[in-house]
Amino acid sequence: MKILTRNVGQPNPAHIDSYLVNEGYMALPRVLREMSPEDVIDEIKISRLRGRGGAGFPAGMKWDFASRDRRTPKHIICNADEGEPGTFKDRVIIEYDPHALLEGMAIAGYAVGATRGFIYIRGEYPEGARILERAIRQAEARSFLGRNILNSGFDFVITVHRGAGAYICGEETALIESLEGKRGQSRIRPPFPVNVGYRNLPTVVNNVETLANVAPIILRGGSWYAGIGIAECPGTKLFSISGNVEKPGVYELPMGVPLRELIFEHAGGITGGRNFKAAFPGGASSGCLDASELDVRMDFNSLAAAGTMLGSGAVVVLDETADMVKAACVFTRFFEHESCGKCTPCREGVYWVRQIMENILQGRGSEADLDLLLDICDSIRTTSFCGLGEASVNPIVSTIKKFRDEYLAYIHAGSQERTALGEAS
Amino acid sequence: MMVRLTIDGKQVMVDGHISVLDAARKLGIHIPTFCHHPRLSELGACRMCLVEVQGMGKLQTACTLAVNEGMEVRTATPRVEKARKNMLEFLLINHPLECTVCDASGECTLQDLAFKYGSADTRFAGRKRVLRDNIISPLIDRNLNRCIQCKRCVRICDEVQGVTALGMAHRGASTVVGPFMDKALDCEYCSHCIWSCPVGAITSRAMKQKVRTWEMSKVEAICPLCSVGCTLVYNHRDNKVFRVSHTEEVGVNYGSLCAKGYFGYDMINHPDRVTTPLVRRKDGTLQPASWEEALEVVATRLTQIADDDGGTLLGGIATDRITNEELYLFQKLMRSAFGSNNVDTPSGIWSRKVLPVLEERLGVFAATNSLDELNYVDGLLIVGCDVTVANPITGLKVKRAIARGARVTEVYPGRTALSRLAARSLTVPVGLELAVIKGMIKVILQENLADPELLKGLKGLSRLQESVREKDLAQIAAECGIRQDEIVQVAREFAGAKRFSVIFGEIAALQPGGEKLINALLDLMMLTGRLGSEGNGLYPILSATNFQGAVDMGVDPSMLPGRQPVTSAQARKKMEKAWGTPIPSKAGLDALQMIQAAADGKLRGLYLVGVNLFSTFPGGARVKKALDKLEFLVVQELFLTETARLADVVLPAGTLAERNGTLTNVERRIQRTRKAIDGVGQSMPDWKIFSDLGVTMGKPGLRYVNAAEILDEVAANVPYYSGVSYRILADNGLQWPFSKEDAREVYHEGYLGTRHLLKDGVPKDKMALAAVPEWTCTRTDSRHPMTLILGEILFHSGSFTRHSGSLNQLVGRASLMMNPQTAFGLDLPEGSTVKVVSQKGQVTAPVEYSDDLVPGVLFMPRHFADAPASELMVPDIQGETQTAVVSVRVEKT
Amino acid sequence: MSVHGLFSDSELKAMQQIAGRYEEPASAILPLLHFVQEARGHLGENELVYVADFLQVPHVRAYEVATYYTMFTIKPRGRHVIQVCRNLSCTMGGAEQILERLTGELGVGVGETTADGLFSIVEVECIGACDLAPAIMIDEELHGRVAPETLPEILGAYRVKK
Ligand SMILES: Cc1cc2nc3c(=O)[nH]c(=O)nc-3n(C[C@H](O)[C@H](O)[C@H](O)COP(=O)(O)O)c2cc1C
Ligand code: SF4
Ligand code: FES
Repeated sequence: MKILTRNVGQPNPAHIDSYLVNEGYMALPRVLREMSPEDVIDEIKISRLRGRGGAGFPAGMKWDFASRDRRTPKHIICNADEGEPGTFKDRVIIEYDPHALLEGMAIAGYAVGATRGFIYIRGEYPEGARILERAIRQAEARSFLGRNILNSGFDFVITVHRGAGAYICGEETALIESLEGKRGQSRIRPPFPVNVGYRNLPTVVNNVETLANVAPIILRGGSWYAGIGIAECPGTKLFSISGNVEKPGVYELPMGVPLRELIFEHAGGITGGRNFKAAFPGGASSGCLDASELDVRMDFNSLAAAGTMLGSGAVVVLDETADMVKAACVFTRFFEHESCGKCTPCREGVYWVRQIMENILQGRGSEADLDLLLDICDSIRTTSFCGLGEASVNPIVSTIKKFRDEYLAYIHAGSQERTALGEAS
Repeated sequence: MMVRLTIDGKQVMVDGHISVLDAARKLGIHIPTFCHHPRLSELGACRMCLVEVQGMGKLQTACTLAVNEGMEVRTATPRVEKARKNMLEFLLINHPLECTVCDASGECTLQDLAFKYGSADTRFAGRKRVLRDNIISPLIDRNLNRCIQCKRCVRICDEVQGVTALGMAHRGASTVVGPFMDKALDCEYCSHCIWSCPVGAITSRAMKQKVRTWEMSKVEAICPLCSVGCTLVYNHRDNKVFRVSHTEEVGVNYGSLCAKGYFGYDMINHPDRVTTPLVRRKDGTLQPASWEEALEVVATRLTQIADDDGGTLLGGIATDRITNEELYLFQKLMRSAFGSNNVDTPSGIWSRKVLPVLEERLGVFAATNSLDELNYVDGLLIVGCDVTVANPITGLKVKRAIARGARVTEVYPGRTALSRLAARSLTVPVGLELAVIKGMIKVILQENLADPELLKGLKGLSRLQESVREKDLAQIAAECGIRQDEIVQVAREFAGAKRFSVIFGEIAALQPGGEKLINALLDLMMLTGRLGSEGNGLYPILSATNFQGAVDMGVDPSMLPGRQPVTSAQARKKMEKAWGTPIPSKAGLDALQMIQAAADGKLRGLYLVGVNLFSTFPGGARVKKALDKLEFLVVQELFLTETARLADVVLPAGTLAERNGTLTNVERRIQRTRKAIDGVGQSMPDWKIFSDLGVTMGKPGLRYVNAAEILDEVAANVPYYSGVSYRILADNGLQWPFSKEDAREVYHEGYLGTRHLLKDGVPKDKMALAAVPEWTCTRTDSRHPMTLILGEILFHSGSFTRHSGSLNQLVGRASLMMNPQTAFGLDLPEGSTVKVVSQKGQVTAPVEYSDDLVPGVLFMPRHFADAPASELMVPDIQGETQTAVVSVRVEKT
Repeated sequence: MSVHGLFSDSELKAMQQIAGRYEEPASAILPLLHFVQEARGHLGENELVYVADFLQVPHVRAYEVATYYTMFTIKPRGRHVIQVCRNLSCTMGGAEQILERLTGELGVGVGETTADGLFSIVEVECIGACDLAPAIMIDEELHGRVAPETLPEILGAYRVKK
């Protein structure tokens, strides 16, 4: 089933004409002519569409909150910061179906009473930004965006805003700070952006993929959508899969597809016919799964039950030759680099655990280090200001839990070496 | 809305808007914090204040969590305790642990909390982050390795001081706090960053490794350096002041200070202080002498002169930096012991220009409202005053008002520190302020913005209407070089807002024709009823420390204490009875007249108290001539100033840190100042010197055992100081006039006395408008076509602070500032030395460009000896004195 | 410090146009810094003062922002900036070998610039091209599935491109 990737492979997919061929900009006129804002929100609620940015929050509820706040102007922000390592699915929508995103944003704007939209796109996607800007101009030229859209009296103006290299700006409140021209650091919540967002006004932040689902839902109806995938998290999902697989890439599959199917049926299996060892199902922020968990279903609830998370659906696969300690260390280094520095545990704690991880890799670790790591990680996870810090320890904790022997191997090899050199105490 | 919650099993009812942290503090439960600061927005970053809340999975930061009905909070569970230990451990992994040499030791939150909750051994065995640091300022040290990233300094610089000189650069574990591009700090040196730092990351270089914090004793005193009258805390040991610290509990400043107050204390124990009396010997040199001898000489010589002609042959000028008691005693000494009404202060030049207008129009002789009201105004009009410079803490209140949404309009011949924050800054040449006010009145009348009821009661309306008729708004705006709609908008705001006050300063009052401007401002206010209520008032702001006290205590040639005319027999009789001596009935000479009289040989003896005539009064050369002609000059001083060097006797006086007493600030608040250290060397407080002199002269009526005794006399004789005493002044002072009830409520918190005058409105008989005359731009004559402001800068206070090494490091010399456009016109490259010539004198100074000034207006600080401003001042032309605004020309050298 | 005349009229117009897209002036800081860095190669003191004044925000705000985001640089860099992804998929795909070859080829380390000022090498986190691992980005151009042997050819193209 292709909802979000239906234009992939078409000639000139990003052009408005290609979009129009395929039911493009049919939902927006219908919304403007036939539906009240409440109708739109109801339809999205019926669809049970859940946010695709990672947290899986019901989109209809978020819109409802924002629409109830009376303060104006309101804003719709499309979160196109896509910074989770292993994720590149929003890029596909942006490059192949930008109009689906724009149409979704305009409908969201209408539903919550916003007249202004921003697409916060990560700085590393300059081409994506250009494509979006071109698409906006095309849409404006045909009155799908801009002032008085299709003579309905509804205004909606979208500006593409480029980030500049900060993973944390994917976190919605940090994104808003960044959009306000500050260092992108998370804000205290509550209040939530739906009430106090950009310029302290009501703001809806939705992921690219979430918004791209909106027009199809309006066209085919919320119940149609709710029937796809699994009941608690319906719809299709874009999975970015990379690492040791034959065919890395983005696959659109129904929510709840088993990991095994994703890897072996769609992504061509493990490179070189080797054996599967582990996968991070939701990018660097997610704890890893091992071979015994290959049948887990890929959706918010099932993965949470498995002690990890779907996140943005970024599956990084590691084969039997992979070094799990090193993998965890690479992710830890990433989090250290991306910690915004605001709160103590994330700033100092991740700096510390990264040093311990490197120590172990360099053969200078001890078994006690593993307990220390788990203890510090627990503290970072439970006391950090925002989701970055909370999730930053997942790679370490999950790999120690599931691949403790690999850590021990480093530790023992190191201590043997030290003994050989006469260094051991 | 009040809510009930439980913290650690104790129930408490609190305001529903406060945080769990504050609620806990109300119960006396201390939750440790780093990033929280009561004056700042909450950050929730340090994670030190984590608590457990029933029903919430994660630990919550008490500082950011709002209280809720029925909430159950626990602050001492094992989870919480573990989290605290962890936070401390995290913070300490990168902390250098150099408490041994850290100035914050003993006052360090990290040290204290680690002591209380932490453990001695760390599990950290890695490499500490070591950041290379550089010197960012001559007075403020930054140590990046000690920084715990609480951002308090950054936030206080932005949110309170409005300067935003500090920021956080880079990110993650590499985040560092610092100025723009990590270069030299370019700021107001308000010290907020220093004392807001919970560790030793930002410290004062001025006290670097000189003393340990716990070795010093602390005394609350009033800052001697401007008329705000901030409460500061002298920290001393071994009779030496090592630093100034702040207190948030008391004072008009709520702990805030400015550069002068915070760093200027190094004058107190300055090695150049005069520490013994000096008497001029036969060989012409000043030599140390005993107090007995020096006072004997002074008593004999001054009495001789006084005896010749009933006191008209001698005079006295005293600084307004001394206490009310001393000012009172000084004029009493001059009047009762020497029979002379020739008494004045340097600020008399200002008061005699401003107060008569206010007295005539409103019947008041002080600022009508209080400083705190400025926090809550909706609008503010500031005319001819660089508030942040004249009154830094008043400036802070204005900034706070702006942050709360107040519309502030400046009318100033340039841009000030407030301009960036203000709603609009109308930069108009000196002299055209009047045009702007006239424009506003015109708009208010044209658009019928004034309350008709109010207009009915006002006399002179048609005359006012007539006077604003001749020019239309477009003309006025064009002449001022501003947009017409700016005048319209400020007029509408002025007429429409609920609370709108007016501040005017030196440049407004002391410009030629300044009275006209003050009158126009009063018309504007009367027209819209902007007087006599909360937030609606007039603030004449002069920076001189105790200028209001000097007015009140009668240091004035024509006014007795309590602003009673000396020519009034009744007033004289009252004081004569109190003093037991006659008072001359003729008004005396003011300071300028005294100097003139001395030059003419008509004044033979002069008593100067803390006044350096050369830097304060017009015409340095003339002053010298006058002083040379004197038969006897006594100078009571801290330092051997240019003036003191000419004296026959020099009497060593102490600083405010060395005495008890009271001062009255710009909002009529009488406040106590307390003695921190004993007189340096043999120096004595001024009151004690006056008293001893009286005793030496055999006048028992001048003998006092302490300053409190003088205050009692003030309380008995000065009507609106009636009943004042140390006890009732308590910590926060008292705004006159105050009632007996005020005086009795000693422990009353917050305000005492009268917040704003004219409670019943402007007296009926005074409800009259003056017409607004035509304005003149101050380009008086073709030979001196430019306007020079001899003004103040933020880092100095008169010529006094020239003795502060610290402040001199910030700015230590004068330069002539001008707009680059002006400079191009004159072909003056930046840094070139020029000659500035007024009608009376000239000085040389280097040129400095400043985009902040309007073309044609020049600025020169008046604090420095290398370009003595007094040389340029014009004492008298056609009845006008040019002291703050002078017509000059600039010549290349 | 004088920043008058730092930008040409047409540049100024472009900047005004960028700022015009936002109701809140400060919001334009990222796009303006992007613009200025593209035009000048880096964000020096004058550039930051200019942008801050342009948007009427405190200077230190521009500095804070310029140092927070990794794509901005306050120090001059080479004409072409080679960004090497070092995140997991690329590391597994051989990013370390790429880096080794690159530093050898150019004779400079990570964070450094070649003597001729042509190239700078920087390590970056995931650039969203894991399907093309190992990936590098030169200026705004993505190069996926890079093998160490192909590097000289890739670099050659930029040498002539200038
Ligand atoms: C550290 C961190 C990084 C995030 N990065 C992204 C991201 O790159 N893209 C995204 O859409 N959401 C990201 N999120 C989630 C957002 O905060 C937010 O939940 C989401 O944009 C909401 O959109 P949705 O409801 O459509 O999912 C991130 C969250 C955290 C804590
Ligand atoms: S957890 Fe703390 S330091 Fe880490 S990104 Fe969030 S706020 Fe910043
Ligand atoms: S004091 Fe609450 S987080 Fe710092």
